[in-house]
Amino acid sequence: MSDVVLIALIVLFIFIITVFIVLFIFIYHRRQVKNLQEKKLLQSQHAQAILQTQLEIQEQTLNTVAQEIHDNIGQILGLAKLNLNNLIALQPDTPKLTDTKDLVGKAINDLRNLTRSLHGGRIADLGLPDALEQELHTLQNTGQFTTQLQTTGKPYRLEAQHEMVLFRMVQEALHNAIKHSEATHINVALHYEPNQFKLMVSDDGKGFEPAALAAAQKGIGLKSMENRATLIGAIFSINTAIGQGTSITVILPKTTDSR
Amino acid sequence: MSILHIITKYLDIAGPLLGVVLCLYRGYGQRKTGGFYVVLNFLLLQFIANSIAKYMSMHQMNNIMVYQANAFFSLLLVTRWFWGLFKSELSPQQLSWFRLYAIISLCLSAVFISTESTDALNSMSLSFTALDASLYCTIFYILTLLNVTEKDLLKSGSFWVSSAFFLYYCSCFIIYVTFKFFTERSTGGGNFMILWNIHNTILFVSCIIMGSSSKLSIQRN
Repeated sequence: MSDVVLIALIVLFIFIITVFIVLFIFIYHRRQVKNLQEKKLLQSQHAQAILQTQLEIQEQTLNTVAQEIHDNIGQILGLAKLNLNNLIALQPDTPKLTDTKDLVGKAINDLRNLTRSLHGGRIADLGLPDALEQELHTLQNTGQFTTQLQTTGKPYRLEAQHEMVLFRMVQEALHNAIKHSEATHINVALHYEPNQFKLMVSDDGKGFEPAALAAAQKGIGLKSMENRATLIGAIFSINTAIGQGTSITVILPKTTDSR
Repeated sequence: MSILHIITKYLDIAGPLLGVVLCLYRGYGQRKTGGFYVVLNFLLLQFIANSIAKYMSMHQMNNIMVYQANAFFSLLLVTRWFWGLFKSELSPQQLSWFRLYAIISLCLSAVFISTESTDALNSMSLSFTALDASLYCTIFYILTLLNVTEKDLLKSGSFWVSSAFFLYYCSCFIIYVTFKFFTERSTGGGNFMILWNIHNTILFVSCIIMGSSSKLSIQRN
């Protein structure tokens, strides 16, 4: 082998070393990107798990409270009403007793509605449209609001947990409307589409400036709704302007468990 | 003699000198650590040893001993550099093995130098230093790949200085190994002397990388 060939081989070797260093940087960068992606995924899974646990605890607490109201206060009021009935039978011409009986009856009804609203198991039994219907009916009974539930498409059942989360989101939206919006009419629309389920809650209230809300890092209620939507893999959006009312939309892609 | 040949002949002095200037300029006003001084000492060693060797060569004096001494002290500094990097990456047991290996290789290097003839440049001691340094660099690369962090590799002085060592020593290993072979079979044509010019060019590039990365190397080691 001539000197020139050997020298050429040595130069080639040096070139390979340089390529090795460049390749090393490339491989390192790829691993770095992969590690970052894995880290982000783990963080997201961790956040989801925490959120889910929080919601489960909240749901359990609501169920316990609902059970307590039904079993304890409801029973006591039931007995009080029975006693009042007995008293009215003995003294039929006592209007105060009749009024008191009516008041206790109203308290029992309100408590029953509250229990229904709090108890998650009822949502699973009734399904989302009926549970929402009852919720809106209760709200309408206050006399301060008119409500409407619209359903389009052929209704299908969503995953039990999804229905529960959506129901709680509507409750949160209704709570916001009652508390802040000065609305008189609240509309809830359920759109059962082949590939997705769409939920809209809108009111005719005073609305608000979305930028101001974003600057305040969103109200706790809205943040909570957004978190719940993320938990079930839904897209949450809010549409509002001053004097234009508020409308929230939740779009949930249809899963295989929906039936 | 072509201009390119004349330029490359002096790159082994110009490179380390430029490296020292860059190192001092970029490290000025910074809090200096062990790694910075290792790089600075390495560049100074190259500059001084190569200058002396060049001077002796110009005055027809035997400069082989200077190259051999340079090889030994360079290995000492390279070992110190990688010790600084490995001490936070390796377990105490692995560090003990590394320390043992480093001591043995330094002793072996000293033995090679003391037993080598100074009549002509012998490939043994220089090749051994280059092989050892390349081995340390390879360990560094493996450890870096095993411990990928969010830190930008391209902004890591440790990486650039280690890569400069790798580029220089791994390239020079093949030059050192073949140099004696070329010398012995040379018929006076001197084609193989181009190898020494390649060596000088690589040293120049490596020293510039080291000098430029010294600011970054202050962060670690």
